[in-house]
Amino acid sequence: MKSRHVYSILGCSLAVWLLSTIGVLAQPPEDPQPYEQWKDPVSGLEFIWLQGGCFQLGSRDPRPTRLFLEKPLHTVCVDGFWMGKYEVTNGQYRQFKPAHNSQETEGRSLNGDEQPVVYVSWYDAKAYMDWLTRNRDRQGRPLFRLPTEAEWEFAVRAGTETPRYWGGEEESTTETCAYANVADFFYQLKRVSYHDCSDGFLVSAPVGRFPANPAGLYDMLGNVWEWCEDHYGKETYRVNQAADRPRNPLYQEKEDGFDYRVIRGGSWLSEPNSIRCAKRSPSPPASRFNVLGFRVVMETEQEAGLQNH
Amino acid sequence: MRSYGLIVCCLCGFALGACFLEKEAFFADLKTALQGQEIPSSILDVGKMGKILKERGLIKTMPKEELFSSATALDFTKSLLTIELEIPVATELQVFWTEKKEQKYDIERSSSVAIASGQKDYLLTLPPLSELRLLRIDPTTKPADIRIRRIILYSAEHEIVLSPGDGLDLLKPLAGISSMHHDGDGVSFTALDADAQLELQLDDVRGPRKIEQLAFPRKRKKSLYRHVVDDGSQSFPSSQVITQEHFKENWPILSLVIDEANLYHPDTGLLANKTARGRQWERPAYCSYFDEHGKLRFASMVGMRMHGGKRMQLYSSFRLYFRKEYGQSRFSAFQPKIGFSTTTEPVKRLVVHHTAWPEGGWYFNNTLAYDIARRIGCQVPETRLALLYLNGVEQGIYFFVPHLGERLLETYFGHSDFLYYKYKSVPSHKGRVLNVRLWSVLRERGNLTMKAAGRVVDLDNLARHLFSFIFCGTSDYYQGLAVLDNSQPDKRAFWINWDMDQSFIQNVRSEKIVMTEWQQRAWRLVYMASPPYTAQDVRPRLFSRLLNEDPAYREYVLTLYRDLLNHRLNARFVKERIAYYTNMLEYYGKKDTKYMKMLGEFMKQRPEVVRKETEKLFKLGPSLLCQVTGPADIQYDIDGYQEPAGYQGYYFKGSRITVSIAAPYQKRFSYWLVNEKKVNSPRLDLEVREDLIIEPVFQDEE
Repeated sequence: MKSRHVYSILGCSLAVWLLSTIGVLAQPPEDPQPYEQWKDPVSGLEFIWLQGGCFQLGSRDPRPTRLFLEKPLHTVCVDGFWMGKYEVTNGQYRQFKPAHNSQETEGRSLNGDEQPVVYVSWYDAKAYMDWLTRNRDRQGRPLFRLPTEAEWEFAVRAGTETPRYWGGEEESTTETCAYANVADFFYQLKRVSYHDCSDGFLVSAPVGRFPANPAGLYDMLGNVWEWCEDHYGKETYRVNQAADRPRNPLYQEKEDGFDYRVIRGGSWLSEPNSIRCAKRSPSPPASRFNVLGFRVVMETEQEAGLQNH
Repeated sequence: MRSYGLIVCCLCGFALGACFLEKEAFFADLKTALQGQEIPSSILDVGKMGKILKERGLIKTMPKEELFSSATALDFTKSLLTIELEIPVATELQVFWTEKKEQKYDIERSSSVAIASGQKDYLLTLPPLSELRLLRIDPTTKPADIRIRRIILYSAEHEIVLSPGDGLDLLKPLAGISSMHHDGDGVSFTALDADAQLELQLDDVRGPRKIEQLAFPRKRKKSLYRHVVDDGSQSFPSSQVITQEHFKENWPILSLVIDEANLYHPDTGLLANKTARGRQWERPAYCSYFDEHGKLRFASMVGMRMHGGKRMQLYSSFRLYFRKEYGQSRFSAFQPKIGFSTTTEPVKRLVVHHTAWPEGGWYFNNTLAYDIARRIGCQVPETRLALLYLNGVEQGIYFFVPHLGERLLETYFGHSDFLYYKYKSVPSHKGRVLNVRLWSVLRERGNLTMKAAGRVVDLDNLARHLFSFIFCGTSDYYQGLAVLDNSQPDKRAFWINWDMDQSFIQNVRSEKIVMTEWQQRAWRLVYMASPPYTAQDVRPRLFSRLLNEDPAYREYVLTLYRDLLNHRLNARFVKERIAYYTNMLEYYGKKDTKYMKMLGEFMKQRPEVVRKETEKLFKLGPSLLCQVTGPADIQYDIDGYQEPAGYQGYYFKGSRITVSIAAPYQKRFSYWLVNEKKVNSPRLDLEVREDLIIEPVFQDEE
């Protein structure tokens, strides 16, 4: 009877030690260096640390009558955050929803484990974040969420100021296929423009097949559009500007009753010239498309809460 | 244990009760929405919902004696059959089908349509094409002479499977059919007896011919469909997305149904790519138009594109293209006039334009500006207000306007021997030719005269066209069409107004300049008082030079504008238009009429602003007030316009006023009192040098 008690105590102690060890391992570094990488041992997701800062959000196109919704160019500030190194893949998403099927397009599968998950609504993406967070609740942190629009653009630019992080003019298409998976000449749907460049993929590519941006993030432009946390509004940038260098802006207005969320980045079906860091587009939060996925932001306790407009 | 069972039973009972109550609440709401009216239905009480509604007395099957026709709501999971008939007497037609796995017709699953005499289109929903084997068409009223003009079968994706010719070729008499006759434009036959049947073998039907790359929706939200009873003059398929509760008193409705992916897909959707243009950005949609009484007047598939949308806005305008391949080649519910022709024809391309500019409200500045332009004699496309529903979601107040372009002009002129230049657009070769011709007028080295310019340009149209911008404060008037009808012996170019949505709105606001809307620029929008004439648009250059260089044209324009302000844009017109749009808002259920008040104030104050600016620019001195009094029932002819007693008009000093009694009046005219001085002539023609009060005196009043 006595030995049973001893074994029980030993067993409990081992369990507590194991849990605390995993807990320590599962935490990202407390004082990460810029662009430091970290892999979450629980979810398998990889992250890059983006040291916060202020930057100019929006399009630098000088033509006054163009790209209204990406202007005015204005300054916002974001705190440091961990940005998903890749778009969330089918394999990763199926840990959450084993039955999820990203289907196919024109007989080409979008459902490979390494391909980015698609046919996920904004709500699906949020549910995935909640699931990730719940799995980590025992440690109390970190929390997972979608990037805000400002964080997304901060991440894609990674300090660059050109229309695309590899450079190029506003209307440039020539280099795009070398850096991003876009609607190239392979994709010859009658109703969709295609272009005389080849990126080697007909539909979505397995994540990480194209050169990373200066921060080490892959597929920020092209491959699949990515959901952001913010509501989509035509006033967003004007409100930001009026707020004078807002910190961690998050737009939550349903303008004119329209319920759209921001999507960013373009996809394998986007025209090469439309793939730009500043490009923003609306999508109803319940919509699911063959070009729309997401990536994860990991929030640590050091981060301040998001500032809401 | 027993208590657990009791709890479970209670919970189940509660759950069932809740479901039941929820349904009951739905039907109670429905009944309230119907305001005690039953929805009349013919064959439409099919399906589960139809059965439930019928059981609850919410729809009724009309007796056959009350001849009517109707068609089932569209169901995108099914194929569709259209039969176009000519029948001399009222009859009824039934359609049965067999599915591939079955050998016999299933009477329980057949549809029937009660029809009136005349030419009819019927659209029936059938099971998915892949499940169909045979169709049987059974005229149940015998004997009957029937002529089938076309049979078209659509797959679930709205792909045409049976083209009109194919359908007729495949039609075979089963029994009771005499003298079946194909004549190239249809097939005629007589149904002799109760067994008369025709059969259509679908096994031989060729594979679908895709008409659109992106699929039409297969699944749609369940809703209570509004079923439409035909009045015997027309019949159309109904729209599934408009429910009874959508209907608002006195408001026509346009319902567009489109695959959500064709709207929102980030790379190929219309709304997500608002600025994309061209045929490759046309998507199939289904369009239903209900008149202000809720009656379905038009329904067809259409090609849908974005219109405008380059501005910062979330609201969207659309263009609808009516093409044969979609079903209807014209929008028969709208036969707009433009003004320069008496011909009216249904449109092939329709712009469905939102009225929410400036954003955030339900505004009518475009339509009101068109009303004003029409009132002063400009060539303006006709508009019609309607509520727009997009996939069952209300978008707000929109207006229809025909899409201005070569096809529309061909329709109006009845030929293609014309030139037109479309502003803000890539010009065609013909457009460039006309534009060069217009600019060539400005090469006149000496003073530009009416005589010289009038050889090329309709100068009256030019004056009225520009006055519409002056009055409305239309800041982006670089729009519309310049047109020249080459078939006319005295051909002269004229302009058609288009897109006046930036009227009435004060766009120039700065801390230094604070103006109300009606104080904004008038003449300065289009007139340059002296050289250099720097405008990029030929119209203000022509207008300015003529005004500055030919006194005759200046005299003509000043007299015309005075008359337009006095007789066309008078208080009666202002009051009527503002009341009309205010009523429209009220009908729509909008109580915030702040913007209407602003428009009303604009309309009230603007004449004076324009007049004062005219006086100042042309050094005319202050205008003088002329009043014509008299009995309440008298009608005058003042300056060539019919006016009632109590007329008040402002006249530039030195200009002339003419006054006479317009029609035979019950009393005999004797003389005029002009500022209490007697003038004997029955027609006054006076130079205005002071304020005038004019009064007729009749013989029995002397």
